[in-house]
Formats: sequence, C-alpha cells, structure tokens
Amino acid sequence: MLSKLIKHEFKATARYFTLIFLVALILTPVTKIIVSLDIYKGFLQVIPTFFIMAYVFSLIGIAIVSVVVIIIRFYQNLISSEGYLMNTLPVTSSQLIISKVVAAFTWTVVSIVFIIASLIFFAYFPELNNSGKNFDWMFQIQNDFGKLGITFIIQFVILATIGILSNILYIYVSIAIGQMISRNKIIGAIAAAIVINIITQIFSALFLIPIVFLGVNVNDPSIIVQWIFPMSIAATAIMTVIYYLVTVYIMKKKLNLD
Amino acid sequence: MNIILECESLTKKYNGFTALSDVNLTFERGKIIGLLGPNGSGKTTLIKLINGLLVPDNGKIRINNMEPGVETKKAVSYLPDKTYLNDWMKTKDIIDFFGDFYLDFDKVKAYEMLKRLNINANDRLKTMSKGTKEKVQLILVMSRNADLYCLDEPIGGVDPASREYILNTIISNYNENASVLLSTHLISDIENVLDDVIFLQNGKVAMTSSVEDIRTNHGKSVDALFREVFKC
Repeated sequence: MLSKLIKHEFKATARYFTLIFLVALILTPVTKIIVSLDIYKGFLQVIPTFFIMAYVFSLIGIAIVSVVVIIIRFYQNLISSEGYLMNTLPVTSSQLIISKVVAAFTWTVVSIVFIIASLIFFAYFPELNNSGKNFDWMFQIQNDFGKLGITFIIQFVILATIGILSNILYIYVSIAIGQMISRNKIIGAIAAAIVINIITQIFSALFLIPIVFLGVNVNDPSIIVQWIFPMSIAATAIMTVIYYLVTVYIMKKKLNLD
Repeated sequence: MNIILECESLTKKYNGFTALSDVNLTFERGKIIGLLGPNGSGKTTLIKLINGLLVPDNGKIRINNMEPGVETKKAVSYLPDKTYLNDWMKTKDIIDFFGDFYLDFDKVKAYEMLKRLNINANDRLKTMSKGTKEKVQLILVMSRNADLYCLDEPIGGVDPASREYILNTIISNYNENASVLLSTHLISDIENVLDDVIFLQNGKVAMTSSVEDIRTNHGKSVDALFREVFKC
C-alpha cells in the first residue's frame, strides 16, 4: 500500500515541476552561450543581462516551487476535500505521511542537485574564450580541513539530509496542528509554524551551550566536525522524530475535515 | 454474522458542543437504512465516526465487530456530500486509483455505469459539471463490493431524473450481504427504497423503526412522520 501511495504522490506532483525544470534546463546553456559571446556593444548589453536575470529567476523558481508544492500538496490532499478520499483509504496515517515525505524529499534533493549542477555548468565549463577554471574549490576545502575533509563532507551530507526531512515534517506538523486548533486552518498553520520555530530556536541554542562550558577552542576548525555538526545532527534528528510522531497522532485522532 | 454495525453509548463532542450523545444502534446485513434528521442533528458526525474520520469521545463503534481502522475501511464504501476527487485526474485515472487501493473494486462495472451515463473515461474531472462529478463519485462508490455503503446526501444536488438513476443504482447494487446507510433530507424520494429508518435529533436517536411499521402503526408516510416529529 505504501508503494502505491508513493507512486500516486509522484504522479500527482510531477506536473508542477516539469515546466520550471524545462525552462531552467534550456536557459542554462542558452544563457551561457549568450553571455560568453563578446559582441554586445552599448545598448545591446541588455540582452545578456536579461538572460542572466531570467536564468537566475528560473533557479530561484525551482526552489520556490518545491517548497510551495510540498505545502500545498499536504494541505490539499489530506486536509481539504480530498482528505475525505485519502483518509478513508485502507491505509494507516503513517503511510499517508511517509508517502508524502518520500516524494517531498525526492523533489527537494532533485531540485538542489539540479540547481548546483546548473551553476557548476554555467560557471566552470570551458567558455568560448577558454578561461579554463576547474574544480579548485573542492580541493581547497580539503586543504583547510586536512584529514577532516572527508568527515566534514559526510557529516555535511547527513546534516543536509536530516535538515531537509526536518523542514518537510515541520511544514506537515504545522498544518496538522493548525487544522486542529483553528477554524481557519491556514491561520492556524501559520501560528503553529511560528510557535514551533520559536521553540526550536531556543532548543537549538541550548544544545550549543555545552561548547561554552567545555572550554573548546573556537578557533580550531575541527570544532565543526567534533561538535557543531554532530550536535546539530542530533538536535535536528530529535525534532524530526517529534514532528513526525505528532503529525501521525493528529492525523489519526484529531482530524478535523470540514 | 448478521450485525454489520454496532454503536454503544457513542458520544462525540466538538469544543463543548455535543454532536452525538449516547447513541445506541445496531444495523443488520442486507438492509437499506435511512439516516434522517434536521441539519445539525449529528448525521454527518455519525457517518464520519463510522469511517474513522473522527474518534469517539465516549462509547464504542464497531463495523464487522472491529473498531474503525484499516480493516474496516476495506469493508466500508463512503460517499461524502462533497467532491473529494482531484480535478486534474481523468476518469480513468481515478478508476485505476480505486482499483489500486480497493481490492473489492469492480472496474468492469464502473466502466459500464460510466458508459450508460455517457461519461467519457478520458475526460478530466475539471471539465465536468458538479452533477456529473457527483455521478462519477457515486459510480466509484457503488462499484465496490463493500459490506457497508455510507452515502451522505447522495441525491442532494442532482436533477430528478438522475435521482431516479442513482436510487436504481443503489438498489441494484445491493446484495443480501451488504447494507446501505443513506443520509438525506429528500425523504419522499427515497422512502420507497428504505427498509429501516433512524431519526436523529440533537445528537440523540429519537426513533428507529422499519418503514413498514411506520406505515402500519402510524398510518402515514415516513416523510409525513418526519415533518411531524421535527416540526419547527
């Protein structure tokens, strides 16, 4: 059943991304070519400028679309009228939520990878006048952090992953709490989101206090790998689990469809 | 077993307002039951409780002797009184969807009923009128071989000719093992298909009876009795 839900989730959300991905996909090489031609005199400068702006907007558009789709999809499919269909399917509330998390996570990662790949292509591929930049920046990170380079990257990836999951579930738990506490579900969701944000800021700050008391050398870059990343990963993981459990509970017992 | 649904001291409150209070009911298999009552009497609340969309504050509700959950959802086919389908889907997409999630869904039957109503399987729901969407929803719900069908106002927004079609669909899909719970205001239209009726008032069961008993003992139609009992 979960795989069917996931399949349906992808089918339902794919159409929102196709257009913006296509636009960005086309604009990347086109803008690149237009910008690297050195033929614009005077007023014609607006042409490359325009294309750069369009290109940047298309990338920003991808980021915005992915967040908006995640929010609207959850609300529309589970809390508004479609909720009468989805919440009466022979599936558990956990399965409904997990299917959405899987799709939301996938789209977010695809969007991030797309944006980064696009930027790398744009900045580093051999230009027509051949400036020959390459991937020096990656080696620079390795140099700055010495042996810690690999650990850094691994922890960074873990933190990014758990961070994405946390953001998705933060959205879901806010919507779930909002529909429970208020007639106007949207206002309720925003209010819940603000309150949760404040609480987690406090919680996160508390997690960093041990560093002050343990007299750690804040100038040593290994502090990132030994303290900051692990603590952040732990804190984010705990919040993610809490968001998930609360969302499941509310969807199971406190569903308030109109 | 003969009993498809059982409610025991069922109570549900919303923010201090009591929607259902100490409701005791038993439905047998093979009956068409009318759930009748004025607005706000608790009909939709009861139906939502049957479908697991709400959780009781007190008391119990059991379908096939199980509390509402994944297993009961497999056995109950629910038609809410609103459009619950995603507009971008085509009719055949939604039929595939139902087929995917409900093992008792009969695709052949669904396509037959669509054809009879001249609804094209390739049409997007977005392009359909409200009445047509409601018919599509009814077809989906009745194409399941469920133990209990819960229909909340199935003929409300539909023209008289379609109402007749809908009622015929309901009766012809009714088998001796299944029960149908119909909640409605349009009593005179449906009383000829009902076996039993439940009158709800202010969250309590005002009366339960078979339609036959009402006509024999009270000497009037269900519609007339309703107007008497719920006179404003």
